[in-house]
Amino acid sequence: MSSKNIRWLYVQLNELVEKGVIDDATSKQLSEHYDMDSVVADKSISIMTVILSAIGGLLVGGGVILIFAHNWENIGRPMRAVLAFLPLLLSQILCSMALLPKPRSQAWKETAAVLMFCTVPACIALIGQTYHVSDDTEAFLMWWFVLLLPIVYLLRPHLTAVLMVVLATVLGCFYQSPYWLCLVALIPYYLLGRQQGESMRHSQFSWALCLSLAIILPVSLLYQGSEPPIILMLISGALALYLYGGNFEPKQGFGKRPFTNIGAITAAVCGLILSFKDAWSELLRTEYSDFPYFGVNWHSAALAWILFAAFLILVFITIKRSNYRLLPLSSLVGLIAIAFVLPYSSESALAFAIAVNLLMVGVGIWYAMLGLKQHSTSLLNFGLLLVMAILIMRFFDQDLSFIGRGIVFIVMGSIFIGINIWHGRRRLV
Amino acid sequence: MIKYILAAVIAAQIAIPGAMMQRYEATLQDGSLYKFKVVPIDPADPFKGRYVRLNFEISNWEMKYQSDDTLKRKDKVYATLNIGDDGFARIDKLHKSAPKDREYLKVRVQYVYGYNEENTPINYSIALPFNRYYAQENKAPEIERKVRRLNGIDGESSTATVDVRVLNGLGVIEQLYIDGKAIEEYFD
Repeated sequence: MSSKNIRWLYVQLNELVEKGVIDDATSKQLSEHYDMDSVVADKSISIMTVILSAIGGLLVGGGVILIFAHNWENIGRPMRAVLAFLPLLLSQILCSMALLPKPRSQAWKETAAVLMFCTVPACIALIGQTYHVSDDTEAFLMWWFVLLLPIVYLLRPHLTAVLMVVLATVLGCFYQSPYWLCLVALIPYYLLGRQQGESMRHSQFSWALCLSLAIILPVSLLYQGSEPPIILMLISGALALYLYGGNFEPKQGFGKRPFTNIGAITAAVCGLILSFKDAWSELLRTEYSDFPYFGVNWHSAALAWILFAAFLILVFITIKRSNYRLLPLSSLVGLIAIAFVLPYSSESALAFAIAVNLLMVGVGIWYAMLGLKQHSTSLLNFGLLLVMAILIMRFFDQDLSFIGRGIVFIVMGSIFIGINIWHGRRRLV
Repeated sequence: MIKYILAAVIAAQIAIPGAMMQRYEATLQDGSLYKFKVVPIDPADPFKGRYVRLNFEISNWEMKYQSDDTLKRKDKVYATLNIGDDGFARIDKLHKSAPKDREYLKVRVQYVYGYNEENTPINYSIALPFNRYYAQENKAPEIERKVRRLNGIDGESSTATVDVRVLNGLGVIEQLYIDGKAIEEYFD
């Protein structure tokens, strides 16, 4: 039962008992069955209280870290040990009290969790400081994430969950593979939120997760090199985000569709980069010997193949659900796959660049038309932006001759005007 | 159920930092003592505060070490230590597996220098696993300034050294000295 219904029932129960329809015992049983106390406690605390207490917890925790960082030299090692563990113990007690014997309000959980988010690293950092431990930032961040992860699932604290995404992003950016696994570890949290229906908290977390994926995936893949298989997997990953969003996110509302939006933008950026001839010559010149691609280590290879598999599965789902409008952008993967298997493709960089240009312009126009048809400004703008981006890039492309560019621009302009006249006449008829 | 999971999480949150601490503490208590010559510089870490970064003379980029095994960049290797005539520690050789009868440090290969006729690398440089000395906020920059001045304008050169305890591949800094005085006393 949704929390809204439970609150309705809570009010009703009081009335029913007053009118003598049900007795106290039944009312109590029902109240326990639906866990009304925690639901009502949740509501009685406003969202502002939750936010303020979470920020308060973060500030206090940050303060603890800063005070420790002063490094008091007169304090001996045993006292430092006590100092390291004391705030951690306090936050552990608070977290336990947030759950046991009965779950408390969201504000309590947020504060306790965010305090723990600060005291765990403070503890490890103080130990590092005491023993002059060097260059252990990777291990430090990793343990911070691992020791906090269960708390995200136990307390379901919103701010801490978003902070964990940030932490995973930092790990992934600076230390690459296998830290994409940190994001994977947060995906069940996203799914749990999804299951409970739309809420502001869920969409905030989804945006954070999705932005993080859009940063971590390219970083984790590209640090291995930029051979065609990696680029193929990279674009597959971007399109997997887009297809997932298109199939499973609500149809309306920009803010509610992080996967669709970020996926489309990421894939479009990849497409724009590949619209340069230089990008293709570079790509096709790179020697790659191992296909099927196994990567520099198992986890990098696993990431690449998971992305590719996810893309294929999502294409299958898209076709099965007849969501064909999601597919045109996906043809980028097909184009790279062709370049990848075709013998002698290394000499035809220009041909592939032209193909990508045509494809992107085609996809752009197609999105713009779809936007017009569905009265969707965001679709229309996305389509127009794609076309404009390609045009601007070609206008400044030093690789093409002035005459060549001139002719292409005139032809394109004529087509645009033609379509407009045709569209205008059709509307008159 | 939640009770047990929570208990396990709390136990892990205490046990893991506790285990880290125990390893460092055991090294300080039971490790063998080595002296290293260093060149201090001062940066800061947002979580652990200000520290004096130590450049070890023996891990300088010019220093090339040899190994009986073929090593790659970023490999984790074991460096055996010995003590030179001046009383300071030196790295003797790099090994792929932990030597049984000698004191060693776990280090990482930074660069590979030169190859022989069979295209196997000859020399390697390494990064020592302890290059930070955490000092009180206001003292770390002072340490650095002092050392720089002593080395520069006055023409005198001060020697900075650290005592490091080594046990089972782990090295923990015990004390930083400037001209033979513990750093905390030097500035009092």
